[in-house]
Amino acid sequence: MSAGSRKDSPGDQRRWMPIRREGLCCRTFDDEAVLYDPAHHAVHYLNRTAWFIWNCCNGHRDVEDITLEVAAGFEPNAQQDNPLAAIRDDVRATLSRLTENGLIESAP
Amino acid sequence: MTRLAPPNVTDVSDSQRSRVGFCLFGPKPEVRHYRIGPVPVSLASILTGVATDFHELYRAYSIEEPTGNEFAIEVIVKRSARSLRRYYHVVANGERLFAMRSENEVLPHVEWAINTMVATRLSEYLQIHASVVARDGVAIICPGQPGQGKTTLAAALLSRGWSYLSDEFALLDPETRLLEPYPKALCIKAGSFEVLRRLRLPIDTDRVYYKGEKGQVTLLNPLRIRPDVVADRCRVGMVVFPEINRSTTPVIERVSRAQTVFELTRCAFNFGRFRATGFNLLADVVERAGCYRLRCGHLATTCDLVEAFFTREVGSGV
Repeated sequence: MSAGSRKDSPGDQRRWMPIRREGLCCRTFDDEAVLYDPAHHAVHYLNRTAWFIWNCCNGHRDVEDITLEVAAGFEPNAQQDNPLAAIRDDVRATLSRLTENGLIESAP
Repeated sequence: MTRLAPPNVTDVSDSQRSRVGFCLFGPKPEVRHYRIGPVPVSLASILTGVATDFHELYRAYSIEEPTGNEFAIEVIVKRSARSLRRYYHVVANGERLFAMRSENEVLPHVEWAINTMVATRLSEYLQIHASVVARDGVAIICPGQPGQGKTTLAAALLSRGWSYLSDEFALLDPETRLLEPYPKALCIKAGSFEVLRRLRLPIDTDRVYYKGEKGQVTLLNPLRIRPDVVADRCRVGMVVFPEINRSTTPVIERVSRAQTVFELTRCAFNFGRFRATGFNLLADVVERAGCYRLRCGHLATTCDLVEAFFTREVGSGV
């Protein structure tokens, strides 16, 4: 990830609109995926949630949009007082890991 | 890479010791040639006992003439200039891979040297660190790190009529997507001797060797189980990740295919050579395979469980 303007930085996730990195080999199995990154010769396993979130990264959705997509796509945890806040935290954590592993980047 | 084995850990009976000949000043050792599945090997050992034991294991794969591209393994002896102690060296294609003090460490290190050559030089196959057995032309591969029970499980299944491909390498042909048999001798650790003898496998406890961290091992010639034990090329029907389990009750559970591909890339010796092609090859293979994690328990019950799930996945009349 390149640091730069606030829009380019995942630090300001209200405005950050991540996009899937190009050039990755992707194979899906049921609702999970495994990705191969030829540039870094690295393989990544994405479980159902991570795969869903990675797919949401189209360069037109910010964290809030993705949070709402996940909330609509998955059964909320009934034990949480504020399920949306918990989902938002999970989405942020997942986007952070996807960024660390070079699987998403900022939309141009 | 030179590896000095611990000097005082061998435990060899007198009868075993006397089997190992030594000809420091004798004639140049005879070179014998073999083709073990796709693996061409030549062995020249100054220890005649090592050459004899190796030939007994691989007599069926002996060939008259060298193939030209073989892995040339030599066993030589040198004295340390400082201590004047004798060290045995295992040399592969001119490179000294292992050095050891005890004669009965040599044969397993010859095997290890061949494995090293396979992993680094046999580049036409995608290699997965796994044991492989088959039934009715369909294979189970059991990938994993050392000590997870790969070889013991394979040996137990062989005792129940399964066919053998390898206890160390699943060799995937990227063109055909089939597994190539590499029917090396099974390296059985001392902890499994008794349980495998109870399955009537010909475990030769008169020939026990020492192999570094693995401790005491014996080498089992698969052809002594059945003359027709070696499988033909076959497809992958199941991937089973074995794990040692403290309980006697075995447990098998499904692993997702995505996770299986991920784990297989980590068990592949030469994934770096195949890169995207290897990734897609593994994904293609896994797409049509049942994928499981197996916590091994009582060996016969574990085999029952594996066979039941194999029948369910593959539809074979096991």
